Amino acid sequence: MAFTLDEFHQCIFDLYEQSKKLHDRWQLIETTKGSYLIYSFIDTNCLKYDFHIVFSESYSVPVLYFNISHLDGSLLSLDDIWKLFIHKKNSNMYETITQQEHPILHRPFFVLHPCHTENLLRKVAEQSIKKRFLFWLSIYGQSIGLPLSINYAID
Amino acid sequence: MSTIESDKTESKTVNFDETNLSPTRPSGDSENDGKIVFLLKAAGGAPILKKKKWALPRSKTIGHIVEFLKKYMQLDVEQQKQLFLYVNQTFAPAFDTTIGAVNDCFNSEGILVLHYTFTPAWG
Repeated sequence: MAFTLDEFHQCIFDLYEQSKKLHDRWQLIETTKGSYLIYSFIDTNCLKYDFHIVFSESYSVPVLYFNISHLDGSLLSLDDIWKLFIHKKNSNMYETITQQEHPILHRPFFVLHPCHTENLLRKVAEQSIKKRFLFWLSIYGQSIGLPLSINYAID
Repeated sequence: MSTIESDKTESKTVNFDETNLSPTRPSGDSENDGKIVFLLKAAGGAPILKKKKWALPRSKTIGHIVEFLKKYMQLDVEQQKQLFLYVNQTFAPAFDTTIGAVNDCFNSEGILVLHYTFTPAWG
């Protein structure tokens, strides 16, 4: 159910390669402290979204960190974020969004808490590691407005 | 896994326009009157539907199907469950993705298979 660090690296590398083929904008950052993926864009309301996929050592799963800021650089507060997502989604999603220090950048980010990730991954336990990663990303990403083209699911 | 009895829609009102979402007879055609035929399969402990085969116009979205299923299965807010639809056994398309787009990528021999499962509320 859990991911090893090597499996995580393989998955983010594969996603990065796929992103290049699809002319999408995932970036792969490799540092001595760890590797992660970034997806950034500015929406029609002039809000800048930054999504990071980072590995959680303690849960052995990928975790989605994010920040949303105005173009002047000021970050949205947790209240602002709640308002944003409640209006976007017509389904009821009671997310655990908390603010934590990004494990590599050491600055505050909002994060979808990984405590239920293993539960979710159990539903696709028999699939390949790449498919399980995509499953996780498609579900967690949906709830916070991460655009993920259906083309990523095509082998 | 429990089976949802089809007579439950008679005892409780389903306040939803069902004219666009109707069960179909099995057929070899991929589209009936421009509609996409799809099969709903339960996964991860979700209840099995008696009617598994459905048809919808191409322009209907994944979100539309999720909302319909939640009402059809009578999932109320108190159950604190989120229903997810996924394709190719591992990808949950965004709610605004049209079923036409999903069908074009993933239908197999004229049928689109969609799995559905619940996840617990996240927090």
